[in-house]
Amino acid sequence: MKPNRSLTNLGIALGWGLFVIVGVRLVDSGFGFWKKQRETLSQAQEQVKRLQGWLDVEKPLRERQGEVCGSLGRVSGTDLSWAAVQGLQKVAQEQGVSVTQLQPSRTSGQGPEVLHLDTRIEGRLEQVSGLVQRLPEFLPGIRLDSVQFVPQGGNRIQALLRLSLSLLEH
Amino acid sequence: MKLLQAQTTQDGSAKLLSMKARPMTGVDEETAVNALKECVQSLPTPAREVWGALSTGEMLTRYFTLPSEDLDELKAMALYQLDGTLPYPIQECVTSVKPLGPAGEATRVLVAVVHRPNVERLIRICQRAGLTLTGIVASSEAIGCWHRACWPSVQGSSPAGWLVADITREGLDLGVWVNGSLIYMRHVLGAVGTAEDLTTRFQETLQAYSKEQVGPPVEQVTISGGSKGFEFIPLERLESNLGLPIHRVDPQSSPFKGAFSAISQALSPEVSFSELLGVVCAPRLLEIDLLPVESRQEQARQVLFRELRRTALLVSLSMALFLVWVGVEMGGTWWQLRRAQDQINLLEPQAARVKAIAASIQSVERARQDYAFQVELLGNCTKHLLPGMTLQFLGLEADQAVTLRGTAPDLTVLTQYAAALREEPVWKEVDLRSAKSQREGGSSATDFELVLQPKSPRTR
Repeated sequence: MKPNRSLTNLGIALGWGLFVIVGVRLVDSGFGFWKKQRETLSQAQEQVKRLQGWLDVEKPLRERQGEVCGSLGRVSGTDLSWAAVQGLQKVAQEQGVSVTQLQPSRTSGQGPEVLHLDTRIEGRLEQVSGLVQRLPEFLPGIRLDSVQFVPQGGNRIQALLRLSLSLLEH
Repeated sequence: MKLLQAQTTQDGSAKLLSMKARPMTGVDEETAVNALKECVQSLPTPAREVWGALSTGEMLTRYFTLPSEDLDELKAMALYQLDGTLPYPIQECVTSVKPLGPAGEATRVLVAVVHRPNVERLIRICQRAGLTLTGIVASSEAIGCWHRACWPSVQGSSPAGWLVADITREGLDLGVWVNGSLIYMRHVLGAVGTAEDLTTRFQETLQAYSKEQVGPPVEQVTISGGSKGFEFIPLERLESNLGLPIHRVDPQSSPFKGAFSAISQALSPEVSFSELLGVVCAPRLLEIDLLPVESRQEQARQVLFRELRRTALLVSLSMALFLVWVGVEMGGTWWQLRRAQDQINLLEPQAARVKAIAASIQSVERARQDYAFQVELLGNCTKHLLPGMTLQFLGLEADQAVTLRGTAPDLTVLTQYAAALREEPVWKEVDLRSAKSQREGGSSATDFELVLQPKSPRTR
């Protein structure tokens, strides 16, 4: 075989080899990309399903929120302070307890806005106790940060309550 | 130039589609090509296989007795024996070797030899007319096949030694068949004039056959040819001259009667198609193959390349289809992904709102539980107060620890109170911060401060 013929054959073989290698790599990477795309699609479809699931339970959740949170669930922004004061006054009236001091303050960090109520109330032991017990009925989600009961003589008692309440929905 | 087209089926039956004959004005190649082209163009369907027939007159036959059973060895030996006995070098010939009778230490073989230019001329003419030859057969053998197919069953099985003859304007094509196989062939040039002339030629042939000593004596003669060639021949006289029974192969009584009679009306009655009909009758039985090996190799190479091209095309098409399918699938995936992402963008704010509702419900419920727990803690502090004990201060700290300040009659009562508290499952620790006894008047009292650490509601 002549040398130039050998070189030609070698060139053809190398060309074919290169073509096959590049082709295989291209096909391989194409399939890899497709596989990844399909996985992403599968994850996205699952996420859609999950989000759809949340929307499906929106109605029963709203009903439940209505039951649990009452009118306070619909309160927003500055109305929260007034709603809290009204609720406290209402339960105090019902229990026959006098609210002698009420000092609202607000804090807002990264989470929802929180209303703090420093309250001083006076009354008979059972009245004060009844007010403390019934507070969640009028102010759903209320938290008792601290409480001090100081006997005032006889059956009367003074309670210093630090309450906190946060907005339920934004 | 004669051309016949037939359709054969798996079971061996054949149907004649066309029989054409064109007179040739000359014997040059160009004229032959044109005549063949004319015939080919008039064929009803394209041909799948093409068989050529060479006149026995163009062949030389030789007989050898060779000491081998192997066909390849026999061929090699026959060619060796032939060298130098032919009018032209063996390299310029196309040969076909056919064993006669059983193979053994002395195998009798028939060697048909054709001058290669004659075969190449036939191949060239066919190629130029657009036909690729599948095989080339000797006219005598093809005629024998035709006569064998036409042998009437009413006359019983065909005889052992049998002389077949086809009468044409150019001369006589003769062959001797033994047990269904051609063992001798001969061509006699010149038109047949009279019955005596024909008798003489038959007798010469029978003598030549007998001289070769290649088979049993002839018992039967069959003749065929163009229908006009028989008019002047009184078969009875011929029979008596030869002393052998003579049977005429009549196209009208052949197995192809229907097709042949319909077509033969359009033909010149002088033209004999016996050799072509023989090829149709039993192409697979023809044993003398005169197509050169190089032509077969060339054909095989062409078939291989054609198959390779077809395979490559199929593979390319399959790949292209596969890639199109992959492309469509990838496009579909991309489109679905885009739609899913649009849906997510649309649903996420709505779902976030619903999640916030759920979180607020959870928060309220947790707050309620915590609140109830705190109230329970406060109630628990006062539940175990013993007679004489008073609480001056009851404070719930931010970490839910409860500080109690009060007065007890003595330390024993205070200890009992603390023990009762420790018994309660709500408290994790009950610590005494201070206890101080005081005596006022006749009674004593102990001021104390207790710090109670509750258990978490979940660990109780």
